Amino acid sequence: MPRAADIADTAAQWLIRLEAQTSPEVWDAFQAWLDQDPRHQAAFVRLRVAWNRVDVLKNLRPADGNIDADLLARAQVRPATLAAQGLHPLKGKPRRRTGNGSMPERRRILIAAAAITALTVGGWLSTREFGWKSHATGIGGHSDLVLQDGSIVRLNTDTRLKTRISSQRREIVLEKGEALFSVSHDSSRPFYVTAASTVVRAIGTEFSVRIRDAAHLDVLVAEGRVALGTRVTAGGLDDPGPLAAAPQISAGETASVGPGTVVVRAVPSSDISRRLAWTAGRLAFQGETLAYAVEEFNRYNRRQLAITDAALGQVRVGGVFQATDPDSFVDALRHSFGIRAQTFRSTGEIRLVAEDRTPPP
Amino acid sequence: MSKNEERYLLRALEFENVLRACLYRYTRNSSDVEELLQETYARLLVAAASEEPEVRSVRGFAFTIARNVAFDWLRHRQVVPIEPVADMEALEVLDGSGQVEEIVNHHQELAMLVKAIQQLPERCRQVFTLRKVYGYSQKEIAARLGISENTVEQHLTRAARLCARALFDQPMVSGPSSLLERFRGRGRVHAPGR
Repeated sequence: MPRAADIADTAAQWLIRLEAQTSPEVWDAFQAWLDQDPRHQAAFVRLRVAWNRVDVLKNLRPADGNIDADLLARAQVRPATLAAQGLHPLKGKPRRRTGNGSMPERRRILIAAAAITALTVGGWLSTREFGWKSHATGIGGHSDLVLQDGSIVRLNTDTRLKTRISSQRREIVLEKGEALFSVSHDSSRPFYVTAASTVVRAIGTEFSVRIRDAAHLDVLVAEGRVALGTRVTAGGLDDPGPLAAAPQISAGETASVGPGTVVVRAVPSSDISRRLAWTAGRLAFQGETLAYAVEEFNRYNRRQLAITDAALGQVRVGGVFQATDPDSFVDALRHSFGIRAQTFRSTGEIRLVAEDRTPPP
Repeated sequence: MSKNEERYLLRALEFENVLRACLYRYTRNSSDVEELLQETYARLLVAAASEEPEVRSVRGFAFTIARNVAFDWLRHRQVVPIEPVADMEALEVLDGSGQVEEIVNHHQELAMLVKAIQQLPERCRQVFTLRKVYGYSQKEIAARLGISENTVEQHLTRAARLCARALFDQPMVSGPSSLLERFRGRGRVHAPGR
């Protein structure tokens, strides 16, 4: 009987080999190995989960875009500081010429301490199965999904999507909510995200898609480049024609898609971090209106916040909060802004009112 | 292997260090703990695949399996457990209650990982950094460092095993021995008749 250490070693070899080549023969051999013994499966899943979780190290990339193979040799990681800072980038290394032109310079995003809480490794044994798989989160929920091609999908609150990975293409249909896609590079299998009537195509990149309502959605590109297109038929992605000439969005840009319109604009990298703060379970504000902040909190919580005073809604707020903890947000509002909260027991609604005003009856 | 089948295993990985401590406590044999742990995971996968009714506490379930694995091992070796069984039951009570949850400090995760990576040989660490921090493909790394793709693969394989170890087998805050002391103390409280 093979020793545990040998099995773990073989599992690690498979894990790394499958990252590099994905010919059907390799998959078949891998499948056969997995089927031999449940211990093989267990060892493989364990390594796969660890290997994907290691992707948090991406957060250590210096913001200046330098490539430094010795980065980790010197990296000083103080987790307490990192967690406290939440979204602040680490200091970049002194600039050094690396002379590498093979990779496009990427916009770096830094989301600190994004500990993966719930990892789902789906469909490893169904590489030849062409059905859709559904995944969903409830209000305040958050879940990470590792697709069989190694891409990671992070589902935000109240989100529903389905996935289908085949040897020709990787397809996601976002039906509701918001998700961040960290796409593994695989030029032989394009990666499509369909949301409402829009198709987003990516090869190796990181971007988020959020459905605002039936006709509007936001696409935010953190890394790489995506193309936007219109969905041709209900389920069919066989014709990539409209995508060829579609508007492209690059790293550091966001696109707001409405009926017949696409507005693309650049966003500073600090804004990208802030808009992706939810991947760490947080909401980050920096001068947004209270009305906007309230709307954001309400996406994550059944206990809804409400503002009846329009002027109060225009107050600018800042700070980093746990998305599922509106109470600490309300506390902060009381201390920093003199805003009071009235809780209505019947509905559970938390109404925010200015301290110096007479509360409405 | 469906998502559902893996569910228990994914949950169990979160407290691998406690499972390890538990297996060691049952068997008093550190050289076989790896085998026993892998067997525990394999049985978790198999159990999750069967049509059994939903397991309410994966934690309790995992520890029951670990105990069975350990007892099978002891029986196989005709070894009598040194520790009284009541203590072991207490250990499960404590584990099942989720009180050990805080032992694993997730904030330390990143720092532990970097520390572990820093112990790798230079070349291996560089390959790992280019792959996992900068997202280069294996082919790109080979070209960049002027080594074969096969060598890149070997370095990454080694790094992957190290990462799993660093992430799932983190030392417990109070240290395994004192943790076991805590379990033991707990046992007396729960089994005063002994």
